Amino acid sequence: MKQSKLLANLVSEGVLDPDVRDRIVEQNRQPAESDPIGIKILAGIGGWFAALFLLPFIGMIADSMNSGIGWLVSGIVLLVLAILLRRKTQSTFPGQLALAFALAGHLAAVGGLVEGLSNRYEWVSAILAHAVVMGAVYPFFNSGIYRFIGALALGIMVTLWVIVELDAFPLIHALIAIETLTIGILMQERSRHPSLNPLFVAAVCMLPATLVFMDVTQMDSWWHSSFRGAIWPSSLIVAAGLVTLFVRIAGGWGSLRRPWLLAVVLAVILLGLFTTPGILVAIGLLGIGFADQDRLVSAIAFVFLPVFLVFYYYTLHVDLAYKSAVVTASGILLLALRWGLRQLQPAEGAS
Amino acid sequence: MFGPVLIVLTYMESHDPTARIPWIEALAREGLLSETAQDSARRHIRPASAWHAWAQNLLLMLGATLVLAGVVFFFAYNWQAMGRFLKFGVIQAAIVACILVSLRFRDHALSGNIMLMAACMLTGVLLAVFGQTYQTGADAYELFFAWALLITGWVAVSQFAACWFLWLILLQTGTVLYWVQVAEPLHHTPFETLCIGIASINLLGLIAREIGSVMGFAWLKARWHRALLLMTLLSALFIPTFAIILDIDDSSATRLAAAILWLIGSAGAGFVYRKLLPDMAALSLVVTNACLMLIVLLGRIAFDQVHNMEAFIFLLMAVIILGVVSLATFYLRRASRAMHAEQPERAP
Repeated sequence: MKQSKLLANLVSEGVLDPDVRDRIVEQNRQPAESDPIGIKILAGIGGWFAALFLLPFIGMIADSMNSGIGWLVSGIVLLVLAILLRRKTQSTFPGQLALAFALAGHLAAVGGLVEGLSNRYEWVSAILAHAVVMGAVYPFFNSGIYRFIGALALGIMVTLWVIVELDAFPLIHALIAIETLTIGILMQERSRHPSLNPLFVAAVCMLPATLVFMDVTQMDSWWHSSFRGAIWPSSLIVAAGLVTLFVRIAGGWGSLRRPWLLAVVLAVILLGLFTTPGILVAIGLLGIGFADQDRLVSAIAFVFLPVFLVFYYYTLHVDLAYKSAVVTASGILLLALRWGLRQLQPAEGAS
Repeated sequence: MFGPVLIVLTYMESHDPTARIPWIEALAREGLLSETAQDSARRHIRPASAWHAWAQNLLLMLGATLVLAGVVFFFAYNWQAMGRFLKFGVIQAAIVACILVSLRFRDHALSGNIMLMAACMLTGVLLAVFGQTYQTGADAYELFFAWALLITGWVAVSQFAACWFLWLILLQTGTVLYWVQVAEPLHHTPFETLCIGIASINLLGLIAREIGSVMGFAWLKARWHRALLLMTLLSALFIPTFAIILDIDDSSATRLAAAILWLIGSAGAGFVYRKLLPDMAALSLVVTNACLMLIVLLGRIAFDQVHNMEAFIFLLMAVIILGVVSLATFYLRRASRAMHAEQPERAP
């Protein structure tokens, strides 16, 4: 639907003032303020690589001071410079420089803090230091790339800590619950503040990534055998999240009376029973991407879906004959559901 | 995994005069839309029928994948016990069944196309089983070329981009294997010739895609086709050019030719996607590719010229990267604004 037609519809429904419509039309004639994604990716990669080259330079300066303190001081100086530079100007070169300063400063500050904290708990020190620096910089440094990388790195560090250091499988379910909740809470915001978008995207990346970690650790030859456990808690968490998502999209729990929504909920439960939670997550992200017309979320879902389908086949610990029966039956069930759904075609234009 | 995400990401934002949810959310944040108006707009953009179609497509995709996988597992389990006649009979029957179902669902584009794609895949399985059963001694590249040749007719009439991509992948895999198994060991054909060959295949595919799109073939309009072909084309020529920069003393005529082709290809693609077929995402791919090359070149010169100043050289590299990327983003921003202004449909 064209923007003009939508605005006209809203005006005719009486939910939009004609004057406001005219303001929107005028505003749309102006060029978009935000960069196209190609530019953002280029800027991000440039900033990241420049930061990598800046680090050895800072390292040499820091080494000439008292190492740990030197790193911390250099990091803080760079972070402050980055924030000031970013606030002062939005031009290209200073913007790139600010990003490189921020990334290099972040790494230097975290390194300095870890050096100063206890050496007995390296993982916890690193996670805490990263969280503290990110928490302090996130609100002030207005860069989606920095915020996204910071939030994603925190998620990766915590996941690795649980898997490698703590070696406690049940905590994976807790991580998945936290990530699902984060996505859910951020989705609750009717019009989420742009500063929270990088956090949302990081959570969207981390949830399937954590599930990939979980699936990999369950494979016999890929990980040590003591790190094993039931995956049903994650299936339960994700299925509950997915049902909540679809019910919310449909307009609330009252909508459960609609036959097609019941069919969708049934499909989710069947997928939860027969497949891995990763497939549910990929479908959930496809749903979020479709609902919000968020191509980034859809892209992430499309990349992870085949990965989880392969994991599903691989993790069925039964012989090939039984595996073929289970897989075929699951497929036939879904096709039957689709057939049922076709019979419940809603009227054109129904909401 | 990064490649596909990058391709989809490069197409995330485009000049789109249609009403989209992010646009609605931005208006709401600015206080221009009330909650009621926002809800109403969402219902207009995503009506129940759209969700219905989405759920149906998803169930079809997952259901068909699972059933096909189940069938494959069934044959894998019983493979040893099956005779030649049964093996060939089953695969050929499956191919015929797929084609018949594809013809039956010709009006339902997605179902029909998926079955046609399955028939194309099964043709490869048939060839592999043939080679295994009769121990033909054929090289692997022959399998891929024969596979591509056999499905050419279906691909030509399919009007389905995925089938064309499968065909292109088979052709390129066959070419790479031919170089590995025949051209290099027997004729000492340089690696750069292979790169030029791969680039040529993708160039022809890209030209065909653009002509088809201009002629109005709707199934060729999806812009990820363009990104995939362009990225493969530039990457194939990037490798020999990169090698020249790293080792200038070992620059054979073929390598030099590949580098010149990279230069022409990048400049040509830049011109086409800026002036003739304006596409910000494609232009970003070209510029990113060029940036990478320029950074490597300047880095090489810097590391060659500056000695015994490690700290300075790292700082210099950081400045070089920032400078090149800043110039590129400056150009892309200007191009984006110009494209926005040139687009007549932008205003609602």
